[in-house]
Amino acid sequence: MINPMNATIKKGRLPMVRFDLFRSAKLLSILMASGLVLAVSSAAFAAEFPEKGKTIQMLVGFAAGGSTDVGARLMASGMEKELGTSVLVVNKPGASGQIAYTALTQAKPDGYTIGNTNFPSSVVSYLDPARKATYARKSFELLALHVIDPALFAVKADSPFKTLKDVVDAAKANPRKVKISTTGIQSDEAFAILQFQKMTGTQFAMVHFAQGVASAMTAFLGGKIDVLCANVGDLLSQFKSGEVRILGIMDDESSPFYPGVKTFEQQGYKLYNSSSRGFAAPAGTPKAVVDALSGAMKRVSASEDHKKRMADMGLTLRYMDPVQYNAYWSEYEKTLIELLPLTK
Amino acid sequence: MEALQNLLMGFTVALAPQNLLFAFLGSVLGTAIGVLPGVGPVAGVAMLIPLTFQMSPTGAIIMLTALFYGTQYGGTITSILLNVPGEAASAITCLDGYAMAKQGRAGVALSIAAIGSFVGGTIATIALVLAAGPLTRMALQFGPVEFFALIVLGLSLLMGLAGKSMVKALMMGIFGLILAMVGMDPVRGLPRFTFGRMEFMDGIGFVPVIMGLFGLAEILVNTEEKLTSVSVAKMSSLVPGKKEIGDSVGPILRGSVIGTLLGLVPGMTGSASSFLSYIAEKKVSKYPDRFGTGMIEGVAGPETANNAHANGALIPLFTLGIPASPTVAVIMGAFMMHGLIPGPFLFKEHADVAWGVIASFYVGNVILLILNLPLIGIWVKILKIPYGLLFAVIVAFMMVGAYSVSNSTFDILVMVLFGIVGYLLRKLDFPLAPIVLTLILGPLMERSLRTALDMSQGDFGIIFESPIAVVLLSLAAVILVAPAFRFFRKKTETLSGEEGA
Amino acid sequence: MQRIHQGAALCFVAFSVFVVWEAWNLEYYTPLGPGPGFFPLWLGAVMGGLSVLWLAQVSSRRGRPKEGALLPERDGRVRLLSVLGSMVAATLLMDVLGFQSAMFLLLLFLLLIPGRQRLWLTLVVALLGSVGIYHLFGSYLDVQLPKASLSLLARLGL
Repeated sequence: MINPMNATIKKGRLPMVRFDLFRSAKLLSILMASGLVLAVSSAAFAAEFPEKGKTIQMLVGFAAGGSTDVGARLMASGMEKELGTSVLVVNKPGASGQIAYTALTQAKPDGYTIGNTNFPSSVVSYLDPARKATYARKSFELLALHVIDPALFAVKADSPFKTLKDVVDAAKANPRKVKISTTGIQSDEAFAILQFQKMTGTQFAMVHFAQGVASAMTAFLGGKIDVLCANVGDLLSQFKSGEVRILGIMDDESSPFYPGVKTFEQQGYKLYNSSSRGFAAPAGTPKAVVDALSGAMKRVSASEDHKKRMADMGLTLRYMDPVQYNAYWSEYEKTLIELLPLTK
Repeated sequence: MEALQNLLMGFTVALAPQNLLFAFLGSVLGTAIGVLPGVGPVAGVAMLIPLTFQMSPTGAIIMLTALFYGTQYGGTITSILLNVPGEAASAITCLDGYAMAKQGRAGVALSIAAIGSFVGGTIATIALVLAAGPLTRMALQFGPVEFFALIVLGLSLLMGLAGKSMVKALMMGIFGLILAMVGMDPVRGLPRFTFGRMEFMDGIGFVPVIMGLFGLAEILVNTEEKLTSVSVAKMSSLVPGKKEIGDSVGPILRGSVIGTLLGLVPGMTGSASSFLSYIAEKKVSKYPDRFGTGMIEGVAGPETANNAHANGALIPLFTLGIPASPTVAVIMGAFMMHGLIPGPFLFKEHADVAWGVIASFYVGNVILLILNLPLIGIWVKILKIPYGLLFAVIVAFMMVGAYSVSNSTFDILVMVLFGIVGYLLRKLDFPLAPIVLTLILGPLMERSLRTALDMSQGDFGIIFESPIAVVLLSLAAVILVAPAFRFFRKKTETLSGEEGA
Repeated sequence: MQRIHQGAALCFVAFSVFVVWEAWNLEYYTPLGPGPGFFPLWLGAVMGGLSVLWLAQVSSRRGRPKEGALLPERDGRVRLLSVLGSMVAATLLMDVLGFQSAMFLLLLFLLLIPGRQRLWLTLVVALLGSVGIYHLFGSYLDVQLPKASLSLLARLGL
């Protein structure tokens, strides 16, 4: 290795540094040349990405058939048409997505492995020291935000609560008696409720249904839970049959799935919370590859066919490009850092 | 009867040639997926969804639902023939089913299992047609508190599983409960007994454990002898005899009821249904001690229950729009992908699809019965394959099956570990059935207690406020205490007998 | 034989102690009910009690287990361990060599040595069981079995 700074240490004397101009010029030119070669080759590389016949793996940290998986599969099938190569969804469920995130961040950053990133699970997994995650935010190279599924509060159609204010009043009058459901101690519903409690100075009885929203809905329809906290994609059937009254949606705009339902903001509670899903590649993936992937995702999200399919599944499509997604991630991370200690 | 009229209309849809074809395809695929150990209905249904995009909604859903309850037919086959559970809900069938196979009665076991499966699935569908509303309302009464009480009752039935040694059965039951504690605890969400491994965060993994305890342990026991000399008993007839059919009637009827009712309760798994059926059969039988040695009731009941459960689990989807299990959630997704939202209004808006699908459940079960019965002759031939060859193939399939649960080689190692554990436990003469029971019910118990206490914010009184829960828990208490009474009564009898003599 | 049973009972006791120990470090009770340490603690304790009871049973004259070896003789032992060992090795190598290679080698070994099958049959079954299963599961069942991480093998499509 050429070392322009030859430091010779003689016993007992201060090191003498000989700066060799000639040698350093040689080094500099070699560095520049290699840099040029790399740039050209990565551009050429990117022009080849993806190679025909090479499969892109999309890691999904949740079970096949769940709402995260369905959204990912819809994106994957769209990407196949855009990129002209097969995109295969591989489910690696477990540890609330941590197994898949670990696999994603440890995969070769060549663009042939990408993965789904969920909020809050991806952020919680590295913020919570008890989870002992082997990755951090910088391990992810974000590609796109795909779905935002806003949280909501709902009551049964025959419930005495007609508005959000009724719920707040009841909770104030009976601390820790109004039963509200979540899908887990660190689920998006739990964070939403914690924020709401802070905002309104109330305390609910949070009932966690870790097996999923279906168990929560059953308990709710059976009258065992007073308020259902769930996401927009969960109540399509019940809303249609008139069994539920959705009190408010935690988003900045009304949902096309529930016409006539106000947002929390419109009722005086500036609360925005959701479970969202996006995609990322392992950090270190070359920029050209990242651009190719995120470009494909952008085009898929804009296509009419994709939009229709997502709407059929009750998934709220909300595309963000990597820059916007990074900003959104930072904001979300900040909120969670505040709220996480409250879940302990 | 309006329902029957609608059903007849549904039949005209279900029996249309292309829908029949879809039902057939779904049934075949379902059986195949059920046979393959480890690959479960969720994966099967999920993978088919993209294929069904091109089909009409009715056809697509007919195929997917046929696949779903078809897997319950296939899962039985490897359980009986090879002691390898094809699928979680078929694990219990290994106990008596494999014993029957070793006695040369594999054909009989498979036949009864197929018939029971058919009856179970059909009765659950009849329940859907005739009593969906009331049944669903009843199921909604089961909140976390009642669920907890039900699970405790199920666990108390563990006492009924004790064979020769109560101590050993209890030890195994507790061992299963401890294994069930591995993972993220339901209270704080912190890892417990995970040794730092992420893979344990959701628990040890039922399928790899069961495959190890039963399938691999069996192979290991067989390696003690020269593999070429391991042979199966001579095959007796494939058709069950009159006595066997007579003995099976009760279990099949009871299994149908148990499976249908438990299928309605979200959170109850098919394996819980089939296991509770097994225990019920043991309780009502005149020869409880013979269970595990090849009692046909031990196959008829559970196999019926798991099919009734699968079809019963579809009821809340139609009446409430709620999927009772992850697999049903996938089917719900299939509905939605075709622009249909399942729920009570589906009957108004798309009556032809709704009733067509329901009618197809009957059709599908018939197809599966016709499909599976003749195949028994072929399946049974598997046993004729020389063990020196067969065992390696079983090993390969088990490894792939264990892997495919979560696409992880770690699960294969779990299976190997429990293969060793199962081997040692067998050598030491410990019963394995209690582990399966507590491993299934354990996580459900702690979680439901936690949820119930969330509702009351820590007050145990909530349990006593529910009449259903009180009844169930009292039953459990009686069951737990009864053996002690019997024990003391015997002691006092012998004492007074001695005195009198 | 009795010694082995007693040893096993002691293993159970040790296991119970371990469980209680781990449970001790977890929260026993929370304001909302039993904590993560509650059930494991009691379960471990009961298990410990039962193990001691069992130990007493096998040590007593009435409960003394029948004579005879628990573990198989030398031949059987070798077979048993070789089957286990090869399975573990194949699993560990699967991510390196890829499923197809690892399974091929495993089947080759199992069929030839403990299985004592003929070579041609072994080769056919080993090929079907490795390459065949790989493609069956990959193409039809959407289950991607492990690929080789060694680039040489990966380039061969393994």
